[in-house]
Amino acid sequence: MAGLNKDIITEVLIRLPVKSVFRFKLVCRDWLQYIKCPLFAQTYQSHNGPSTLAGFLQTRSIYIHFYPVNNSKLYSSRSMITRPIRNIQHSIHRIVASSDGRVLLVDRYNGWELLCNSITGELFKIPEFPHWAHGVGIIHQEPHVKLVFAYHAKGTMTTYRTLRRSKYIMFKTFTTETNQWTTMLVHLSKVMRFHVKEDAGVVVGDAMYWLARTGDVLQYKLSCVEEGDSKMISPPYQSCFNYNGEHCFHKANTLHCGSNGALYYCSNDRKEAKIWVLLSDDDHNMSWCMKYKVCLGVHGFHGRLGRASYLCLKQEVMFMWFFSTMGISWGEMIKFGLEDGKTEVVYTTQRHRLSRTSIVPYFFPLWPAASFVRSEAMI
Amino acid sequence: MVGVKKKMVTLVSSDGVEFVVEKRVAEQSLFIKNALNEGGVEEKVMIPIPKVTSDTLSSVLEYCEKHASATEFQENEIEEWDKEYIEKADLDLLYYLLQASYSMSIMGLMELGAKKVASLIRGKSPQEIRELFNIKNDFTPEQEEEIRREMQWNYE
Repeated sequence: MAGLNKDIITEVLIRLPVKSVFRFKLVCRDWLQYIKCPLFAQTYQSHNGPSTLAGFLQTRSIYIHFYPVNNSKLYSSRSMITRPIRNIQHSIHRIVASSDGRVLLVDRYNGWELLCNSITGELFKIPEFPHWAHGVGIIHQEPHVKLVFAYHAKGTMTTYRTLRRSKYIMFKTFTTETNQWTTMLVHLSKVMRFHVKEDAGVVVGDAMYWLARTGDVLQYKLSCVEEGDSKMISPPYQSCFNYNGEHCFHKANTLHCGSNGALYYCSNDRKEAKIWVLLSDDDHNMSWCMKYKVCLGVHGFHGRLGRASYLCLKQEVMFMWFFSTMGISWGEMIKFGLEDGKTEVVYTTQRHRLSRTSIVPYFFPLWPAASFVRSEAMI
Repeated sequence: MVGVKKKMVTLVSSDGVEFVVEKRVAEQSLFIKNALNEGGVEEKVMIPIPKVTSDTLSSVLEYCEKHASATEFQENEIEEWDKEYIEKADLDLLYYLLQASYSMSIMGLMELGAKKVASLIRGKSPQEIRELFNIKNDFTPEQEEEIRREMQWNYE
C-alpha cells in the first residue's frame, strides 16, 4: 500500500471512525500530512455528515474540564481534563468565550489569554489586554485568530450614565497575524446594551452576533472596515420591558450557529421556549422565522427553574442549561428532542459553590475533538 | 436485439494483453468513456490502459460487466455479488484494484475497495498498519512523541 496516492488513502480513511483516523496519524509522514490537511476534514465531514461534540467547560485551578453532553452514556462522572495549562501559575479566573478548539480565558493576575489549542494547552498571551469588554468573540482566520472586543461607548472608561445613552459601539480587534489592536467606532440606530458579564459573540458565516439586553441583536461584519457595516436587528417577538430594560416575559435569550450555517435565536418564558431562525432575502433584508415552539412546563424541572442559557440545534436536538441558586449553585444540562419532545437530563453538576469556577457551553469541531473522544460521542 | 451488432472496444493492459469487451461494459470506466467520446465513433478502437496489468484488468472487467447489466438484477443481488467479489480479493489484488479503479475512474469499484480496506485496518495500531501495508516509519522518535502528546487528553 506504500505506493498508493493521497486520493486513494483519503478514500479509505474517510470510511474509518474518527478515532482510528487520529491514531493513523502515526503511521508515516505521508498519512500525517493527508490527515492534517484541512481539505481532508472537509471531505470527511461531507462523507460522514457534520459532527460536533457538545458539552461545556468548567475551570478548576489550572485545569479545564470538559463535560460532553452529546451522549448520555459518556457523561456519567467522567470528564476530560486538559493538560495543565502551561505558564499559568495562578488559577484561571474564568472562561470568556470558546470557539472551535480555542478558548479565551482570563487569568486572575495576567489578564486575557488565548488558549490556542485546548488539547496541547498552548497558550497565547494577548499583549496590552483591555481590562474588560462588553462583548467578545473569536474568529478563525487560519492559521491566525482574530479577537473582537466590543464596548458600549467611546473610550473604555465610561460612566454608567453615558453608557446607557450612547448609540456608539467601539470595536477593538486583535489578530495574531500582526499582533496588534485596531479600534473602530460605529454609530448604531439604537442604543446597544450588553449583558452584565462579558458576552461571547456567535460567529455565523462572515458575521458575528451579540445579543443585547433588550433582545436586539448586534451584527458585526467580519469584513467591517468602515462605519455602518454594523447594525442592530430587532428581536423576533413583540417585546415588553421592565424598568431595568430586562424582558418581562421572554428572557434568557441565546444565539446559536446552527449546523446549517444559520443564526438561531432562542428565548423562553419559563413555560415555553421559542426558536427562530434568521433569514435574509436577496436584498439583504433580514427577518426572523419561527422554527420551533418547545413546551417546558410539563417536564417538571427541579426546584427553581433557572434559565436556558444555551441551545444547540443539531439533528433537531436542543441542549439547555438550567441552574438554580439557593446558597449553593447547581445546575443541569437537559437534552431536548425537538422532533419527539422527549427530555433527558444529561448532566448534573455537583452541588458546590461555583464561584471559583465557570461553566461555558462549548462545541468542539470534529477536528481536533476527535483526537480524544470516542467517535460514538459525536452527533 | 437480434441483428444489432454490439459495439466492441479493445482494451490493452500494461503488459500487452488485449481484452475485447462490449462498449457499454468498458464505459463503466469514466476514463474510457471520455476517451471514446473524444475519439469519435470509430468502429474498432484500441485503448491502452497504462499501469494496469492483465490480471488486475480481468478482475476489473468482471466488475464492469456485472455493473453494466445492473438493471437486470435486483438491487440486493448486486450488493451480494459485490460483497462476494471483494471478499475473494486478497490484499495484493485489493491494492491493484484500488489503483486501477482510481486511474480508470470507476467510482463504484473504488468505493467498494476503499470500504474493504477500511474494514481491514479498522481498530489496528499504527504499527500493524505499517506491517500490513509495508510502510516505513519515517518519524523520528521526537516527532512521534510530539504527535502522541497532541493526541492525548486525560480521562478523569
